[in-house]
Amino acid sequence: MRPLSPPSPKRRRSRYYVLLVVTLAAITLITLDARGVVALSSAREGATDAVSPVRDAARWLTTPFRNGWNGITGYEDLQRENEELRTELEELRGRRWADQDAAEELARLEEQLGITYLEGLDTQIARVTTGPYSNFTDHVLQLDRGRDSGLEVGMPVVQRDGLVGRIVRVSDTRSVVQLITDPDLWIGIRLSRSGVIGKGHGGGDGRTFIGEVSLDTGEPVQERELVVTGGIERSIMPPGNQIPVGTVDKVTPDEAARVQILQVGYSVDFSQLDVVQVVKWVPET
Amino acid sequence: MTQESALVLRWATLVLVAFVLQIGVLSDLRPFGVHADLMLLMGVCAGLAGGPSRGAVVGFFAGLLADVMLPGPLGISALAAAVAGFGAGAVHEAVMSATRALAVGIAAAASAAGVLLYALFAQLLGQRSLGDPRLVRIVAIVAVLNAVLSVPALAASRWAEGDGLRAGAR
Repeated sequence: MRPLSPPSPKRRRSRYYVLLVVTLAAITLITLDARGVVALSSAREGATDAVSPVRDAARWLTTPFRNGWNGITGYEDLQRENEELRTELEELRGRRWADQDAAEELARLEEQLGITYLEGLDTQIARVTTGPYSNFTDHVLQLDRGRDSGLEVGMPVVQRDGLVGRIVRVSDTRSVVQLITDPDLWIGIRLSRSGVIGKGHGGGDGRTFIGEVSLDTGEPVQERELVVTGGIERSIMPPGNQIPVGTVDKVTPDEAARVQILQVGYSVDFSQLDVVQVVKWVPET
Repeated sequence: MTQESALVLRWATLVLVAFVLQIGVLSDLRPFGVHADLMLLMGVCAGLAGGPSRGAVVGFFAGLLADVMLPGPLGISALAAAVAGFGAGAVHEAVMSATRALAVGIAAAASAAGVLLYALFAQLLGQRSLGDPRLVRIVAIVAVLNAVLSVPALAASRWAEGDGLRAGAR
């Protein structure tokens, strides 16, 4: 480092000008981006596309190093997972003869469920390329498909187990998905047994979705009831195609607001996302 | 090539290399679920090696690159890294001492301040960063990781300033 000497008053003034200019430039960018200026979002999309191959190459080059790191830091997790798998294997061995056709039945059921959820809809399979780059929980992930594959902002993203989120940003080759774990993402919901409709939003973590249905429906919500996408307001899916969101874990009546607050356990495991399907349908608003 | 253009070229190279390292390697290395913030560190090290103005300018462009990959509004990381870089440079000048330990300490403190500034700006723009239950952990771990990384990053910053890799280390 250079030898330190007290800066002259002129130099001191000029550096504050530099800070002022840089701060104003940043505020201008933030404002333009918030207002959705097309040139800026196009530049951002272009930069995302340009960076993607660089990032992929860097990740490919550093795979052995990252694997080594994950092996070291994830050792306890692996050990616990191994124990769980051993226990599960023992249980499966014990039940093998009683449930000999369970696997086949499950496969058939999954196939049927898949057809039901996405019946008549055009979809695009995509792979999750990365999780969030930020240290803060930002409830987004990136897909390896973009405008070139026909994807648009607003399209719902699903997985065999249920709803994952919706696309909020798209470039030619990549898209960013806002997960339904995000407290700011409100969606229309419907209770599969009673047909009662309501709305809900993410709980901020990967475990609980918060739903709201009216107390005046006359139909008490039961625990373990399946919650699917639906409703009219804030519908994220096309009418007639209901995607599972999760199952009700707890119901708390709020007499003042005349609603029942539902704590819903997600049907999707957000820590295990790999391949997803984007439904090529855009909500009207 | 003039001295100024050589300086810009060296800093641009350094920031790009840091960016590739950040998105290709560091983003996946998450002790306790938190990764180092090399782009923020570039602004801080620029401030330490070249003074407050350099810290602000390099921090701005490094943060802007980071913003491209983040979901929030463009410019939040740029503003946070610019202010952190400027602050690191100003504190370093004010202390009137240039030991390596002090520089590492300032890098850690400025990184912590940079993360807090990012959380504050993001919160003002509608995100929930300040309310993130992991905020303290994120600030602490980024400060520690960036302090470790600041040793090679400071050497690289001195090279970018044209001082040579070993200059000023005492």
